[in-house]
Amino acid sequence: MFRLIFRTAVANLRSRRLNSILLGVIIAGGAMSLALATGLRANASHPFEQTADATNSADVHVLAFDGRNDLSSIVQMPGVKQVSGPREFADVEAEGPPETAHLTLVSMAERPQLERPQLSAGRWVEPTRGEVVLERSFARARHLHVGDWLRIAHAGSLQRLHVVGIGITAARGPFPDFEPAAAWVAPSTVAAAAPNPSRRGRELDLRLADRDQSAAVVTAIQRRFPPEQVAAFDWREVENTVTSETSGLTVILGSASLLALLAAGFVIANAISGRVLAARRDIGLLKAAGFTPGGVTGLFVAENVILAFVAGVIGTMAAIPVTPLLLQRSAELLGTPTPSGFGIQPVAAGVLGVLAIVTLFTALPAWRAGRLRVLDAIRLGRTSVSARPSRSAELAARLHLPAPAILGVKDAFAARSRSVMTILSLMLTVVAVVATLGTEATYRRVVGDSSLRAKPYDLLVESDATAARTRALLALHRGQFTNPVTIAGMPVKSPGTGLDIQARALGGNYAARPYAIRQGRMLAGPGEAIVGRGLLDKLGLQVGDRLRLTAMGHPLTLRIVGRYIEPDNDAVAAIFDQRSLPVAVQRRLRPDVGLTVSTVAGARRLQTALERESKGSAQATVTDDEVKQERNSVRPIIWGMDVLLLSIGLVNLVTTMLLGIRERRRDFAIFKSIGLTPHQVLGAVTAGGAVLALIAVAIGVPAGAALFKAVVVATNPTDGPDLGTTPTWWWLLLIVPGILIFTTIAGLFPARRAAEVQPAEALRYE
Amino acid sequence: MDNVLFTESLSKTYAADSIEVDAVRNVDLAIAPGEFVSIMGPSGCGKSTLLHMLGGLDRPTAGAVWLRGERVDGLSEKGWALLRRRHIGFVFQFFNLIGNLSVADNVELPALLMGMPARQARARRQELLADLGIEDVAHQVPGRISGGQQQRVALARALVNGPAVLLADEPTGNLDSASAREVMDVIRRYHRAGQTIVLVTHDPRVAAAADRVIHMRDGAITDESRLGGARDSASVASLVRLEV
Repeated sequence: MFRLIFRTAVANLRSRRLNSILLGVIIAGGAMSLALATGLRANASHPFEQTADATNSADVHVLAFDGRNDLSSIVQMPGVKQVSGPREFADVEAEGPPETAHLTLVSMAERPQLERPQLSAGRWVEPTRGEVVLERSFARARHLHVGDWLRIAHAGSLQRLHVVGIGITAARGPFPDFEPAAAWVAPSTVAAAAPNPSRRGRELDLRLADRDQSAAVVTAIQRRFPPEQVAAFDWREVENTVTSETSGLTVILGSASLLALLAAGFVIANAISGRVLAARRDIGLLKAAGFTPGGVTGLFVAENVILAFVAGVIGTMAAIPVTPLLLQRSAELLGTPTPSGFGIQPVAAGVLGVLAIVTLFTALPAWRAGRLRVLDAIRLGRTSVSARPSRSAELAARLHLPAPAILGVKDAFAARSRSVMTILSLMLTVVAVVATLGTEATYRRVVGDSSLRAKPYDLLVESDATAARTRALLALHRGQFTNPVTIAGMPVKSPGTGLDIQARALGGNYAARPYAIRQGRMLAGPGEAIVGRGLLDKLGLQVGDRLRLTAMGHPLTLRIVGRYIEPDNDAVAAIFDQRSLPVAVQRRLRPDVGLTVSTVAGARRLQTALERESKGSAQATVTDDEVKQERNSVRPIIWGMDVLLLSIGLVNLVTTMLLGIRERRRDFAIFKSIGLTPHQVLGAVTAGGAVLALIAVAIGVPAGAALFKAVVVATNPTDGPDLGTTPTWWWLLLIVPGILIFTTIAGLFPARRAAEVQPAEALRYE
Repeated sequence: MDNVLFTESLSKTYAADSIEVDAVRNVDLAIAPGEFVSIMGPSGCGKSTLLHMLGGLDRPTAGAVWLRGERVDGLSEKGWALLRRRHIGFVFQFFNLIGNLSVADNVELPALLMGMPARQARARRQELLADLGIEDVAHQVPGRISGGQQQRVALARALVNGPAVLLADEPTGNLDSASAREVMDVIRRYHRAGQTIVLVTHDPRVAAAADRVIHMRDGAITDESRLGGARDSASVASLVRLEV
């Protein structure tokens, strides 16, 4: 029996060669999308672990800032299993554009086994002087590629380094949030950059027998050495930084890849079940020839599984070279190794996933069709049969729509299960578009209102100089800015719980440009504080309660007068008037200065002038640029996923309509026999597609808004609900004509096929 | 009297894999207004192909077709569609009703397509369904009514726009004898009221209802007999059988 089924299946595939090839192409496309979406999903989940695995990252990193301390005692510490280093490093400044950045040149003639940077482009440095391998996020931020030249400054001397490679590491988070960035050079280059050995640092990487003991080892090292001479941090610290920086992107990519997976699954399911349903007459003939319902099911499963295996392998193989190209950008943003496309998960999804979907969506309709009575199945002259009139067609008739539109509306639901699948697939596309519009709207709002980023100023000036010198520098540009506010960041602790709180002490007329208060009011003077939601949640406090803190060793009690939106540190943050601090503490503050500048261009001009005139001691940041940079990084990925989903939706719609038309040639012939012109048949088919699209929009818009909200909350649990912005109603309204145009374009080819049906041929039964 | 339908050397040749098959060969046919013509012949003789060409569902390879004095064989597909809508009603062996439209909607559809106001289309549908004795199934779907009723619905749909000619392709071929008789009674009644009818059948008793019977074999007309005057179907049937 098995042999008979197999031979019949192969014969069937051969006899309908064009049809089999078309279906094979759809399955191959679906397999490719599945492999890509799975690759993206795998890349987006646990980015730190991926990088750590790829670089055999250490558990504890130790940095000795000068040559005074002997690090050999660390190597002897109990629990240390493997050591890499010590290696010399030198901190240098990388020249702009856009601005000077801190860079650590690490001496690494050869890549060690432990903490081994992975090359994503180019080659490793030669022992000769003057070559550098840049950490990828730094190279990307500075638009540097293999073959470019990097200008560095150390102790007043300028050097040029030839970029020969780009690498990734799990020892640091991505630049610019994690600064200084790493760059790997030959020992001679470190020596040339920092000729005085006492100015060179050393780094040591440790692998522990028990990774969970890393915090204890860090504490032990911190006890042995003064913090200004030796610093130690463990893998968890880097993981937290990387995770908090990439969590938003991870959620976005995860959601988008899930949508793409579902949509690709729908395409395959739709095409395959449609093929089985269209073979109703063949099923009748097979049963007449002695096939049992189980045999019929087996035959169709065998036929489609053979096709799916071949197409799945081809689609997956096509995805392998495409995956690194498409996922390079997301990998760069996540700081993960570029996916090769040859991972177990994408290949399994592309081949096994496709086989599972094909088997399921073949077996179900084939089993149902196998139970048909032979005579019903092979009866000629069968048109679409229904137990009750089409309610949508009745509605269309009541609305006095033209007759072709009534027929189209009716036709939209002629094959109900297929219609539902098409609606779901189109709905996923609409969901993705709505979520994208929501993301865009949120970015637009956040760009337009810097207080939503807890930065109610246009330019932030950070200076290594004294407050007096900074004031003097700013005085030169009086008139180009207004409302200077001092902002002194400091770590404070909650004495009872030991909770680390990110605090800012403000000076100047901060009330003129308040923070984004969501509850209570802006602080008005000393003794008051506004706090983030994370702090309230962690300490179980409410607006109106007292907040006890220890700031720079001094106890401080403040009244919480408001809650503001704080995107950093999980909103475990507090802002208060600097005059709340004891005078002695106030004197020790080194505040940054926030300036209000009327235009972004003006802010950029002032930024350039201040950095130039300070001779490197001041660094200015235009707040507008930060979000824009983030938006520009995320935008191609989100839009790319939209294009993928739209393409899948388009293929699905075309497939569904083509299958529907093939199944219902006879109906179109009847339409023509009662006087529908080819254009009216075309209109009827297009109207059918439009109805499905409108239903998809009606469900997809609220579903997309809900998904967007969920993504925003997952990205930023504390302030996400306050920041998430629903797209404006007219943007949502534009989706309706947009999706109608989309379905019309998708439906043109199938509709033309329907309009070209020859009635005599379709109705022939002589 | 001018003919409603007229063909001259109408031919249809199918070509597949370089083999040509003449389905219809040089058919000359003239149908007078109010005439009821049956086309008889064995399966595969080309009678349905001829009927399809008369209604523009199929294109002739050669020859000409005139409808109401106008040559129509060169019309575009749209032209034929408009012509069918106004002047030709089709009835098929397998009814070919639209499955998930109600009986009422099936009947009203051609009227609405022709631009008849909805109210008028509804009135026309009610009139026809009452006339055909199926007004009680107006809101059923075709799948829920008997074959005879379905064919009467198909007749109502074909007649809703008052066509110049009704083309019926084996209208009783899929019915039991009682339903076939009912359907033929309806067809005869409309013929008596002046409806021009061309009916394809291989059943001599059905053919006997016509004024004229045309016999086809291998795509060509082989014989033609006029059945004039009062007659009962049984006697005509025996006559036809003898002729064949």
